Amino acid sequence: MKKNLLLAFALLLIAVFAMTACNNNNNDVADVNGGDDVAVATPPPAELIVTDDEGEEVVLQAEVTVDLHPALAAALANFPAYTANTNPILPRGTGTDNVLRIGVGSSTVLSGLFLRTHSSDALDTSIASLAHPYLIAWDENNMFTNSGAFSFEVDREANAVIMELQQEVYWHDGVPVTMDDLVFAYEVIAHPDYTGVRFTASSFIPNVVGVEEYREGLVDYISGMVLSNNNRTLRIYYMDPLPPSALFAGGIWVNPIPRHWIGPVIEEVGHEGIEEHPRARHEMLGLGAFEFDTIVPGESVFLTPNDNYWQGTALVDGIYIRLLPFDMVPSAMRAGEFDIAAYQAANLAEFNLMNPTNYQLYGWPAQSVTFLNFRLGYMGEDAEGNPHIQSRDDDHPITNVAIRRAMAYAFDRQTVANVVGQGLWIPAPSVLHPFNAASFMDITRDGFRFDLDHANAILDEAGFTERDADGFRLNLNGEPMTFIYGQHQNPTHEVMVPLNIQNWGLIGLRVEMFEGDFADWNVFTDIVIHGDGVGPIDIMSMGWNLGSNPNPDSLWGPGSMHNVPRYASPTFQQILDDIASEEAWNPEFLADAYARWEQAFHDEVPAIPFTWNLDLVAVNNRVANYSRVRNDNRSGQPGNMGTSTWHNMHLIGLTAPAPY
Amino acid sequence: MGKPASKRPPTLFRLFLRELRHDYFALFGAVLLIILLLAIFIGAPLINHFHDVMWVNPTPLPTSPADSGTILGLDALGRNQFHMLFVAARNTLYLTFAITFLSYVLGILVGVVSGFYGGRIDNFIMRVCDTWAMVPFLMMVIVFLIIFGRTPLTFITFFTLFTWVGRARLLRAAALSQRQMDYISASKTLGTPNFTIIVREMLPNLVDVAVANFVLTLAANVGIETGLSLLGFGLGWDFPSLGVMMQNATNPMFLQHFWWVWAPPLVLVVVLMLCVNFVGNALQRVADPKQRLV
Repeated sequence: MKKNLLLAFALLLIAVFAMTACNNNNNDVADVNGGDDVAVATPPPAELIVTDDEGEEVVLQAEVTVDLHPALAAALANFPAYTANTNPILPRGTGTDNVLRIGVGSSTVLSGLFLRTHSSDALDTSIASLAHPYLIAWDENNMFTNSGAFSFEVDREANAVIMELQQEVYWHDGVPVTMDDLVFAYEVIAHPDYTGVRFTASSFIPNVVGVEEYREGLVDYISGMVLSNNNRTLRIYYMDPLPPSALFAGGIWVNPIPRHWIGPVIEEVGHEGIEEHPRARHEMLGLGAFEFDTIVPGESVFLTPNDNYWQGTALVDGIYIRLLPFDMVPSAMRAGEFDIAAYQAANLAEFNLMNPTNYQLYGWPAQSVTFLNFRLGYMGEDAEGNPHIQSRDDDHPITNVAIRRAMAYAFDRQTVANVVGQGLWIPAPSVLHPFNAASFMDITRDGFRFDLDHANAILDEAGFTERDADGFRLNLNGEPMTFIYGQHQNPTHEVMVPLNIQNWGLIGLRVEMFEGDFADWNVFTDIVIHGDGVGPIDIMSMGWNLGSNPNPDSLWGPGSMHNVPRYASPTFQQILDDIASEEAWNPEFLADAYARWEQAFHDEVPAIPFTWNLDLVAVNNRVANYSRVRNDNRSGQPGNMGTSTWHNMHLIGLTAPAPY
Repeated sequence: MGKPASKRPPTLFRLFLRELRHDYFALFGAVLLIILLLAIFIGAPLINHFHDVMWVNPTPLPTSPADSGTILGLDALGRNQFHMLFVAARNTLYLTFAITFLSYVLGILVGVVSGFYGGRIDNFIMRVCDTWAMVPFLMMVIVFLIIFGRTPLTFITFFTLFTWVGRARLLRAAALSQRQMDYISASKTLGTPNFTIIVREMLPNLVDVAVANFVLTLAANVGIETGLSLLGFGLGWDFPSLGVMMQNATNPMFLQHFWWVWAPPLVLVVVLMLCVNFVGNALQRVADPKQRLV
C-alpha cells in the first residue's frame, strides 16, 4: 500500500514539473528567403554624440522639438530618447529569433476592429497602423508635406484639395493602390448607414460637394470627388471655404481602403455589417510594412513583413503583439518576455525597486490627454438628420455649472499626479494641449487649483445650502442629489476615483460608483461613446490620443461621437464656427479664437482636463534603431500603443537571438 | 416527573463538550474561533465608530508597519490594514453566514418534505434537484452577478440558489432514515397531522446532522466567497472583504515587497477555515454515534 502511494506521488511530481517546463510561445514564422547583407544599426545623429570629461562618448538626449512645461522638461531629462545599440542587426530569414515582441498593457481584451474607416479604439488603431499606416507625410509643425506616397495641396481659389499618387504602393495582395480607393473610403464614411465615428466636421467629409445628394440616395457617387490621370490624381471640392486646419495632419481624411476587398463585403452584408465582417478584422487588407498573419481573438496578434512596402522592407521577420495586465509589465520585461512594452508611470516604482539591467526606459511628452467629463446631454439629430447633440432635459443638478465648477475645484489632481505619475505628470491648466496647440496657449497659466474652501463657497453662493441627515447637500428643490461616477479600472483610476468621491463628499456632494465597482473597458465605452440617450453615468473620465490638428471640433463639436460630455452651447458653437471659418486664415483672428475657446471651456466646464504626462516605453537592450523623436521626413503616423509612441517599425532591428 | 438530571440522555451540547475534551485540535479550534468571532464582531463596529476605515490618503507605495507606526501598515490608498482586516472579516462572515443559513432553510424545506413523504413526491423532487445540480455553479453565479449587478442582496441570492441542492439531499437522506422509525408510525396512527410530525417530531432529530453539516459548509463557503472576490466578482470597491484585500497578491511587486497588504487576510482566512473545520468535524462525530471518540 505504501509503495503504491509513493509511486503515485512520484508520478504526480514528474507530471507537474513536465508541465511547468513546457514553453508556450506560439509564434510560427515562415522562413523568409533573405540572405541580404547584415544590416547595421543606424547610429544616433553625430551632433548628439559628445565626449564627456573622462573621454567617454555619450549620447545626448535628443532635442525636444515640442513646447514643454518646465516641470515636465526637467522630468524628461532623466530619460534618453534614442537607443545607443550599435551591434550588428540580425538579418531577415533568421526566423523566430528575429521576431519583435511587443507587450501591451491592457485591462481588457482586444476588440480587434482594424479597418481604418471604422476603428476608433486606441489599441485597435495602433495595431492597425502597423499594417495600414498613413501614406502622406507631415512635418514637425504637423502640416502635410509632399514627401509621402501621395502629394497634398490645398487650392484656396478653387476651394479644393489635390492629392496625387507619387509612388507605387500596393495592397498586401499585390493590387496597386489608387486614388479610387480613397474615393471609396469617403463613400463608405459618408454613407447614411455608416456605423463608425469619422463622419464629423473635423474630417471635412460632410463638407464635400455632393455628399448631401449621396446621403439621400439620389446618386451612388460623390460628385465633388474628381479622379483623373488614370486614377492617380484626386481633386476634392468643398462647399464651405476651407479653414487653415485643413492643412494639418489629422484633419482631412486621407486613408484609402481597398475597394476590391471591402466592396464585396458591402454587397454581402450591407454597410451596417462591415464592422462584424472578418475583412474589417483579422482578414483586413493593408498596405504597410507588415500584414496580419495570425490573430488569437482578444489576446495576441502576429504580423509578418510585407516586402512590397513602398518605404522598404522590414528588418525583422515578424512582430508579435500580446496583451498583458498593467501590473505585469515590469516583471515581464525583466524576464525578457518582450522587447518593447509601454510603461505606465505607476510601474516606475517597481522599476526602481527591481533596478533591471536588461532594459531601459525611454521618455517622451505624451500625445494624449484625459478629461474628467460630465454628462450633459445625448446624441440626437438635427433638422437634416445629421448627428447633433441635445441637452439633457431631466433637470439633473449636474447641468448647473456651479456644481461642475465646485467639483473642479475639489478635484485633487496634484495628489493623483504625485502618487500615480511619480513625478512625471503635472495637472493640466488648459483644455488645449502643447502637443498641437503650443503656439495658441500660455503653458504656465493656472487652471483649476485644488481648493475645498473655494468649492464650498461656490456651492453655498449657488444656493445649495440645505443638507440632509448625512450631511450631503440637497438640490435647489430640496431633494437629495446623487451623482453616478463610472470608470474602468486602471492604476490611475484606482487612486483617482476613491479620492474624488471622498473629496466631493467633503464639499457635500454624494457621488457613487456605477454599480458599485469599476466597469469593464468595453462595457464602459459602449455606454459612454456608443450608447443612446443620456445613459446611467453622470461623471466619467476618458482619454484620447491627440491628433496633430488642434481644432477642437473632433472632441467637442456638436456632431462628434467623441464629445463625451455631450455638451453644446451657443458660445462654444460660435467659437468653433470661427475656427473653421474663412477668417481663420488670419493668424491673429485664429489666435484670438483659441484664446476665447480656452476661457469659455474654463467657464462652462463640460469637462476638466486631467494631466499632461510623459510617456514611458520600456525597450530591451537587444533592440536597435529605436527612436522616439519625430522625424520630419518620415511618412507614417506614429503607431500609438496605449500611451506610448514610436514610428517606423520597419526600421527597427534586433541584435540578439532573444531579449536579454 | 422527569428523570433526575444525571440520568437524562446527554444533550447535543454536552456531547459536543465531551468530544472537545478528547480532541485537542477541536478544542483549540473552538477556543480560537470564539476569540476571533468575538474580536471581529465586537471590534468591527468599535473601529467603525472611531475611525473611517475607508478614508483614502494615497501614497505612491504602501507604507510598512515600521514607517507608519501602525500594526499592519497602510496600503497604497493609505488605509490602515489592521482596521480593514476587522471590517473585511466581518463582511465576509456576514455574507457567508447569510448564504449558508439561507441555503439551509431552503434545503430543509425541500429535503425534509421529500424524505418524509417518499415515493413519487420524493422521486420527482430529487430529479428536479439533480437537474438543478448539473448546472456549473461558479459559472452561473458569476454570470448572474454580472447581469444583475453586485450588491450584497444579489450575491446572497444567487449563491443560495445554486448551493442549496447539496443540503436538500443530505437532509432528505436523514429524513428517509428517520421516517422508518416507530415513533413516526405511532404518530401517524394517532392521527397527528403530517406537518406537526415533521416539525415537532422529526426535525429535532435531524438537528445534530444539520448542525454538523452547517458548520462544515460554512468553512467551505468562506473559501468560495473569498475566491470569487479575489477574482474580481466580489462586492465592489466600497465593501471590503477578505478576498478583495487579497487581490493585491496578484501583483508581483506587491507579492514580493509589500507582504502586509495581502498576507494578514490570507492568514486570517486560513485560520478561520481551519478552526471552523475542526469544530465541524467534532460536531459530525457527535452526530454519528459510531464515530464518537467517547
